[in-house]
Amino acid sequence: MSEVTENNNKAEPGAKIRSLWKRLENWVSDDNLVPIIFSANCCNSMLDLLSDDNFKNLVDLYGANDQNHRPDLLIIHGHVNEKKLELIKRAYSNLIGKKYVLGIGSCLLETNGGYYNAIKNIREEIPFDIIVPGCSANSENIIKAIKQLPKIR
Amino acid sequence: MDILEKFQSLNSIIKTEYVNQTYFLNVEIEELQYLLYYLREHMDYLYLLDIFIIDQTGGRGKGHGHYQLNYLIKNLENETLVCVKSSVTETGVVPSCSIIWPNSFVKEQEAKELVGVPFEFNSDKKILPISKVGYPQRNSHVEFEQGERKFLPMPHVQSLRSEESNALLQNEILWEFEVEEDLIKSIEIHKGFFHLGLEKHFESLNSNQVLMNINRVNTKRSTILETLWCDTIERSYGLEVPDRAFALRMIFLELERIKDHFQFFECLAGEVKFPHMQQVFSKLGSKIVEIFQFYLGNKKISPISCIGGIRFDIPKGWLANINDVLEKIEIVFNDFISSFESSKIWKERLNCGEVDSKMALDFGVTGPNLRASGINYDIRKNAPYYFYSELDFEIPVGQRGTVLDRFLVRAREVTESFIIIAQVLDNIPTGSILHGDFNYFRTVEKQINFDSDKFLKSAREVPKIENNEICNLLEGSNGHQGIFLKGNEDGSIGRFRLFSGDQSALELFSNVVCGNDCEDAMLVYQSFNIHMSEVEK
Repeated sequence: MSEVTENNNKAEPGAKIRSLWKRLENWVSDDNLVPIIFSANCCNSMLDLLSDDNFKNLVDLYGANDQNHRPDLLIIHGHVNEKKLELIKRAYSNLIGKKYVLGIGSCLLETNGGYYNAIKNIREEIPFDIIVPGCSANSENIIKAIKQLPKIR
Repeated sequence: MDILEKFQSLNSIIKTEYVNQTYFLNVEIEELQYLLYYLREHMDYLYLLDIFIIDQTGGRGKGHGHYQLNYLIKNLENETLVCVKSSVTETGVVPSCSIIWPNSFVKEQEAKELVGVPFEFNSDKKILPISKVGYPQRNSHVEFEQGERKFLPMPHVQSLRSEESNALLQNEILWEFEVEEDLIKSIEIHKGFFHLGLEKHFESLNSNQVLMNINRVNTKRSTILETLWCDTIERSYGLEVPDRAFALRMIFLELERIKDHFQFFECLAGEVKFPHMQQVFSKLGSKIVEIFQFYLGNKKISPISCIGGIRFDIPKGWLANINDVLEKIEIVFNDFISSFESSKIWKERLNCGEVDSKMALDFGVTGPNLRASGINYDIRKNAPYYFYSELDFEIPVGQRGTVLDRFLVRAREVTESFIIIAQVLDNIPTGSILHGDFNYFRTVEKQINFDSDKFLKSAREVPKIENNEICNLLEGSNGHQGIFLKGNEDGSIGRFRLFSGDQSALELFSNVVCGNDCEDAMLVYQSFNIHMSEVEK
């Protein structure tokens, strides 16, 4: 027991720096979201309005083994059907750190846009942080929602 | 001998009709396979457009009435369209025509899953993810319980147009390869991630609501879809649309063709790892979008066409702007294409995915994919609509049907589109942009003495769907875009079916890619320019 306590005492100065570093990292990564995007056809184009080249390139990082660029934000825009839901659940389990989920479009609400193949109670399956309503959603509202995401968790 | 008389002389046909430039042939189900074979082999109806089933049970549920099976086929030489109809039940097995057309297997499978009429060679493996829904295209299928249905009121439905989108291939499709020494042995395609049920949704809307919503089928090719819908309704009414509206529609259709081809070059460059070319075509594409935005005045854009003409007239300064922008684009584009045409590396890299002309016809691909295989067929030339017959332009044709050919055909098409636009811009007709009966589509702000009561009264008078069947085809950027529309007695939509060459191209891809290198698979897929949202709807 004594050896363990000695080791703990020795590790204290390093641990402090590490915790400080982690806080700094958390502070940085709060505003540095890496998304996975699940796109339907129609809402897709509204998101493209916002996106610059960097945003698009970030999407390609999904699946990369680099720890620093693992995604932590799931953007689902448009309808979700039975088949897509399995993929989304898998993608959600792959998110690291604080998991953010953003939904875009009226298909994700209870009325599911009026389409028979959009899952009705999608919110029971996936824990959404924010859903931006609209068919299609307003691009300004999407910007607002993305800005609010880090404040929610 | 007249074509109608030829059909009437065939013993197997019960009834022959010629409505809306389409021959409708009724046939017994036992004779169906033989008739289709005869039409293909002896009357040159080589081209299968679509297979779909219409529910005629009147919503009485199981075991009553019958379903109408429809085969849409086309003769490419005399441009005649034939719809072979046969009544089937949900218990009897329908003979498959996958022996006659190899691309019919998937179409039959889809028809079975939507309506529940079994075909001969159907597999248990489902294409569409609708196991919990039941059979959505049956009349007895209730989408919502009573009182539950909520639609957004019309003014809040925002319409949209695609912007500079690169996100073409995200989450669209899943492939499983079987590989042997880096060569693809077999491929299995999993699709259904996009299926939403738009066709069924449109059947519950009126004609104006369909116009506002039809771009949700494919936002990247929305102009052709809007124009197709308006054109179909106008043809069914026999409406005389002003020449000015036709000319403007042609300009926007050609602009969309250029934009779609630029997107194709961009994706292809991304695949071959030419980042500079990718960036340039991305920027050129956004320049075309700016022309659309200038015309309609905002970023979130509503449809350009409407039933009876065009929604807005040309704004001030737009003609000068389009001339300037297109000139600049043309210079950059020509530089790029000429440098790539002479590049050896580029040619060697794209020398894969060969499709011969017979294969292309058998699978029913259309547009640039068909023309790259050496078949000179374009609806704009063979069955011209609007003013295409009066214009001077050429249809580029490939030789071997490789990826390089598909690239070159599209590159030539862009230059031809520039020529078409220049010719139309020089001769834009003057006069009205709307048919007189449809003036209420004009925006409220532009009317000086605005009478709200009169406007609301006229706005409620939605053009009803004619109580007959109509089939219409226009040439889009990736081949034909077709629509089949059946009206009910009360003026609502009975059956709405959209079809394009993309589904056939996907079938062809799964055949072509076998035997190719693994690295080439994505390149071959990109070269067909398939939009999955059009395949699945």
